[in-house]
Amino acid sequence: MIKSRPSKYILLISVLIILLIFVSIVSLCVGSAQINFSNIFDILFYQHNTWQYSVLTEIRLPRIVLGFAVGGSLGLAGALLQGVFRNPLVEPYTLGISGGASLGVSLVIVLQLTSIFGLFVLPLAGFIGAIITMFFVYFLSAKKGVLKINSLLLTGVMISFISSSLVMLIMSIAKPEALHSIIFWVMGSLAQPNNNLILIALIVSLIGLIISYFFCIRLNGLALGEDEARNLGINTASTRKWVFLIASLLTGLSVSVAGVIGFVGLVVPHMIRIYTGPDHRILLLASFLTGAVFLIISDTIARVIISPIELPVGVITGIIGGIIFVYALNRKQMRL
Amino acid sequence: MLRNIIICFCLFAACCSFGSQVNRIVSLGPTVTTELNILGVGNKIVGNTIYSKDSKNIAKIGNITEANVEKIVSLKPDIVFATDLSNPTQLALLKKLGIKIFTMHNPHTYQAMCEEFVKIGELVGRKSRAESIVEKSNREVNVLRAESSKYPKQKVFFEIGANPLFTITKDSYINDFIKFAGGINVASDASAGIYSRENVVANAPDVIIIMSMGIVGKQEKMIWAKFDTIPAVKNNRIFIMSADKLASSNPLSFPGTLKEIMTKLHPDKVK
Amino acid sequence: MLSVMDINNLFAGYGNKNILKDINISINNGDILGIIGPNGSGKTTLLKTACGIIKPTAGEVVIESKNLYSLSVKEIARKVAVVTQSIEPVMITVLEYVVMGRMPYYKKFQFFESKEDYRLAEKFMQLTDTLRIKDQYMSEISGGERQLAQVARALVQQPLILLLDEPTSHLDITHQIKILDLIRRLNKELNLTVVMVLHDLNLAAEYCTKLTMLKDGKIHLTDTPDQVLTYKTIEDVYDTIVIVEKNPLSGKPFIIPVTEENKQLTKS
Repeated sequence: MIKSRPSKYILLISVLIILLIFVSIVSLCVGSAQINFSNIFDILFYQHNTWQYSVLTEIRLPRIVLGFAVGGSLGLAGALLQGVFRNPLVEPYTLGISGGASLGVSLVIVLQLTSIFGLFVLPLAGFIGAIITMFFVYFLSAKKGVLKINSLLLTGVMISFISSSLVMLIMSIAKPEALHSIIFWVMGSLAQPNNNLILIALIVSLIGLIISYFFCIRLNGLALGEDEARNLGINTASTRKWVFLIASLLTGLSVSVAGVIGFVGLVVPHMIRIYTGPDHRILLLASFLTGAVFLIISDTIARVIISPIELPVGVITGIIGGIIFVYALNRKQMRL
Repeated sequence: MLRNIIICFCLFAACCSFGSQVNRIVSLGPTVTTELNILGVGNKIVGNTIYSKDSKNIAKIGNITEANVEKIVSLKPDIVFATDLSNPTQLALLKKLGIKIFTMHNPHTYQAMCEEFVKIGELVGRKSRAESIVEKSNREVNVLRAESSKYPKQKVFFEIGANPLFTITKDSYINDFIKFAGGINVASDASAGIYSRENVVANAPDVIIIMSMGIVGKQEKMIWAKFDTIPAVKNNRIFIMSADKLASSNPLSFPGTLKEIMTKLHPDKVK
Repeated sequence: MLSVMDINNLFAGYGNKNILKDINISINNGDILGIIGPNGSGKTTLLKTACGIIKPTAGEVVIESKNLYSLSVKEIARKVAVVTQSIEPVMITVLEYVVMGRMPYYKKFQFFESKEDYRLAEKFMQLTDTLRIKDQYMSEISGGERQLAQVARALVQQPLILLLDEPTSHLDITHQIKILDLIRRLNKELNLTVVMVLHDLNLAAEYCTKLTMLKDGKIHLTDTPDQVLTYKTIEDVYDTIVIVEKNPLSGKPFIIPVTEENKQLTKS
């Protein structure tokens, strides 16, 4: 069994990568513009001046790439946080990051700063809001530089409540157009027109993945309990601090570029853990890839299910994610 | 000299030519669709929201707040008319793909509404038709304004939303309906947001106009009946008007709606 | 006699409160040192200080002539291995758990265990009689078996000194004897130095070569079990009347508590 473990991991990762490529191709071929599948290869390589080419490369392809980056980031952040907190209900938004980002974006919308600085100021405000929240939560719950798990959770949830109340306050005094903009943003969407932002999200998500791999052994140790981990030579305080930072940055970036897309960070690590167990050496990468696949599938469904109306992608992730999760939970014993 | 005239003529033609080259229009709001129909370019609309009830084979591209970018692109429009409620991200995507967009802002005044109407006319090559419609509208409105100025001013509370209570401030052209009809909007200086029913009672309007939403309108009337210190309640001057007529006004329909409001404000005087 | 760990003038506690006051102990190579004392006397605190979890407010813990706190957490884990009272019921196999004991030796970018790591794990699992359950999940085995697995994991760390915090408190008599027999065997065969916190005085008497009795955070007495476990010391420290006999099999002290009923009998 020991000797077959690396090969078991390789099999799972290969399957996930193939699945990722498959759903990406399907997502590229499917959409409201109804481009014929048989023409797609032709369009992509030879017909660069057609509107079909624009649809494929400027509308669908950026969404797929962003779905990969955001789905991967959220899946990874969820796995990291669940590993550090040893709590199955923890997910990237539990720590209040999405609340802070929503607050930043709402302020900018209601103060009409987009008309002065352009649409770019929205993700920037979201990211700044997320980072400020991260610092708030950290400093409110750290005593002598040590992050206590319970106080971190409580502080994060409280900040989340405060932020959403403030956002509701802003919404209640906003003009109808501003109100609509805020709601759009909060509902979450992969339709980001700025390709540079998508590129940034992609690069950061991959860097986040690589860096988090340096913590997988330590996370394995943390799973045994605080004392046991320390006795194995793991600097638990430092591990918690770094993992919190990485997860918060990944979440903050995702939320500022794509709005609040829930459920991915909660459900994906659990689903993976049911099959792989709590070994983070496989869990982190598998969560990243599964998150990406899940979000791309959800976005594709959101785009076409009641075309021409597009549903918010968060609606699909919530419904599908919930159903799959309940099913999986009943079938296999949960490996926490 | 002749050469100069020819050059000027060509430039002028070039300027107008965009308008006449608009053959495929996508509208992201039913108000816009109505105005395009009035201007006589309804047959050039290739894409519409699901709220526009037309029997022609016009593609549906979404609702007022969500537009399907792919669908719009596949229709190859020459121009897309968007509204304040359109999703800015989707508009940015369309812009990125080189599609011409004109965003209509909810007019704050009747004059702004007319100016915007002419602008639309210019964009679709029907400038002169737009201008003449506006001119006729102006004449009729001025006649009505002159008439209403003779009557005593009426305090009006205009309710456009119930549960929670929403009203019209001076940021909306509906305020002009009230002004031109010889009324004073009690909430004109209020900021956006939920309006307090207490304030209405304190302001004691002579007339309450409820923009109807079916059963809700009748229910609201019953709620107001409890506050019989309000003159509008005492004198049974609470009216329900249809949302379509008010919220989707255009220069053509404006005078008719204005007259209707005037009859509500000054019942004995206006025929 | 080579001392493995020296605790000098140690004051330690939680927050601002000092639970331990002026502790001085020398743990020699090959000792099985038992730490005994009433509840709240600081036994667990002393153990936690000895493995680096609690920092002393004054004094020092010295291991291999180095101050324990000058070492990194990883270096400490290579010298000191701890068996705690309980661990989280994680769904990993016993083998996967035991081999985690090699973590203090992983190189910076090492992600997977080496063949040598597994060989050591299996060797110590054999010694602790846990090799037969190597593929069962930690959350599925009994408390006693989990304790043995923990010992295996601790041994895999190849420490200089093994600390155990009340290793017998949750176990039935079979497993209590099994685990202490194992520790004594390891001590003899591998020359393993052991420090155990025990609440059962008879087991402490039977298995330990040296005893430290704590009272109110201070050392009352450090000596062989014969010298420490007299009725007088026990009455002084535990405030309980006992009779101390000799265990007929081993000759070690055997404590018989005098119950209320018995007191009446002895009086009359």
